[in-house]
Amino acid sequence: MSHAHDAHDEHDPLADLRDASRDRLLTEIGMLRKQNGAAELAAAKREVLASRDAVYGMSAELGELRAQLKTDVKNARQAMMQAPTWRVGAFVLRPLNLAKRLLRKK
Amino acid sequence: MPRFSIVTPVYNPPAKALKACIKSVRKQNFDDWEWCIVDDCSTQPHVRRILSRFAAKDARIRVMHRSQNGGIVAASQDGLDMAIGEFVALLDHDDVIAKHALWRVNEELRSDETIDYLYTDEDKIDAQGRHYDVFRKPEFDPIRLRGQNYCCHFSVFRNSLLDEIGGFREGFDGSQDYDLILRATERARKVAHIPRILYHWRVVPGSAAGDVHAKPYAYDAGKKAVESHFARQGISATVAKLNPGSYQHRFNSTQLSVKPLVSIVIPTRGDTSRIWGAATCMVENTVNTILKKTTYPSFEIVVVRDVNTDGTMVHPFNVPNAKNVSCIDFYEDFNIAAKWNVGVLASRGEIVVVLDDDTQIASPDWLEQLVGQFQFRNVGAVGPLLQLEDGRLYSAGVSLRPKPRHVSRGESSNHIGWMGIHSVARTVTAVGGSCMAFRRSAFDEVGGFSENYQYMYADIDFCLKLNSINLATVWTPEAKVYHFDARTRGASTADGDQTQFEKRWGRLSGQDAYTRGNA
Repeated sequence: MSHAHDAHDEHDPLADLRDASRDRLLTEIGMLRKQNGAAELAAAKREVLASRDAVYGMSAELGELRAQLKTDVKNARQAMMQAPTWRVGAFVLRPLNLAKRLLRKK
Repeated sequence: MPRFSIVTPVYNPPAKALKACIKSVRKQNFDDWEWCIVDDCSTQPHVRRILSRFAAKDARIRVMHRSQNGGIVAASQDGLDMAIGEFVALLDHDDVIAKHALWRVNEELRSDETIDYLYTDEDKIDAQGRHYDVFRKPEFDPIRLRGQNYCCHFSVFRNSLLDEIGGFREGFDGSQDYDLILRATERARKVAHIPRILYHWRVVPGSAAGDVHAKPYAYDAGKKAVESHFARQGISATVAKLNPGSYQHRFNSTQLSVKPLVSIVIPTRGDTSRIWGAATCMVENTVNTILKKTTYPSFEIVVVRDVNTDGTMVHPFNVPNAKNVSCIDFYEDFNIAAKWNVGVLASRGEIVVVLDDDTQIASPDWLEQLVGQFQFRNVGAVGPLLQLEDGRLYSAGVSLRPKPRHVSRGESSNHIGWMGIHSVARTVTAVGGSCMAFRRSAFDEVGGFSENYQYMYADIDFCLKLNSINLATVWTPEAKVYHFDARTRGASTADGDQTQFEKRWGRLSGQDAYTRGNA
């Protein structure tokens, strides 16, 4: 008995709405839709920002990778030219290169 | 037609200095030049003797002797009139150029056909021939050029451009080269800088190099040159002389042709700390001082406050119930970039200022000075001079050299800084988010602040993104703001932020186009 009494005393959030007029309900629905719309709009704007940032970020990362590649190629080239085989080859071909240069000059 | 015409007005230089000057030109390892020397009726007999001797030795040296003394402008203009070379280089009668100067300049000009004006680094040379005061200059910075003639020596102009702008102008004696550089750079298709010391500026008694007070009239002429520059740009500003050779420009509300609405976005948790000995709610202090002191007529304040999941504030605070103050609730985990973005999206201004809650404006016209800079073309973001509680500098812009840092942090704000960098507005790589103004359109274009950063680097990343669309970041000492460094959140660092920054901009770390040398 007391249990039923307690339940009856608890505030029922829908009870107020059940008794509300149609106009009031329509107004409230409109307000909620507007609020939701604004929140959704703000969230969408942030998503647009994030997408644009991602594009700029990826472009920057691409630049970073290109710079890294350039450095790697430079280092690899330097390492190659320091290798004994390359140096021996360059030494062997030196007369030929010299001759080529002279011919070009002529 | 020679590649270079060197133009030198001469008036009573010491014999030794004049000979050194002539020798430095004759020793060039690049031969395609002519030298147009105009003797402005020197009274000392050695001048004519030395000039005649060298002119007889070298057909490329052409000397004109003026019948009466006309001053530096008239003599320099006579030199320009004589010049038939494709490019004109200016050389003072007692200075020296490096042996490879013309060759190096020629190489640079060959690399890009559109270069119309070029300048190099320089140093000074004393009577004993010792070099000092090396000036490693920034990349071309039109903003800084409005405050000081930092390009100065060695300046090389395309001759056709000089014809177009009409050469030197009367009435600018002592700053005639500054006026010429300002007018040339306004029209130049491209301006280049060679980061090599190719010019040695001799310090002799009575020269501007040795004593900045030696030619006071030159600074009046410099001020006139800057005013004239603003007039040509259609920008109204008040120009004043600072320390010799530096000029400030300030804006006031009546001078701004448009006064756009400025939104000031302040992210906060509502912390309290001690400022000048008194316990203070930081954000209340920030907002109150803005409302009390700011003279700019049109602004709103958007406070982005941290709230708990039940909607209560983390640290309750009160801001004045004013029409132009609003609060936005922020429920998410701490991310400074996200808070800035939320605040900016909730604001309406055409110009937005993000401002830390541990700041206090020090100059009432701070918004005029920040907004005023947006009148210039290609300005994306502007930052003020940030001062610590004790008046020392917190930031004179951000440099990436040797790693991201605030320029001049901890130095006296009363000192003009290396080559005057604290005293004039200039382009910087970035400014801190403690106080940064930017256009809303630019913010939208680059996608706002990157929320990939939690604590640090989102502000620098933002400026670098602006830079990638050719929008410069400007630092101005005319707007002053106190920054009670990181009082509200502690000095947080996040390794993840650094990794993220390096992933995007690692190639730029360690170098900075605008802070070279001792800056």
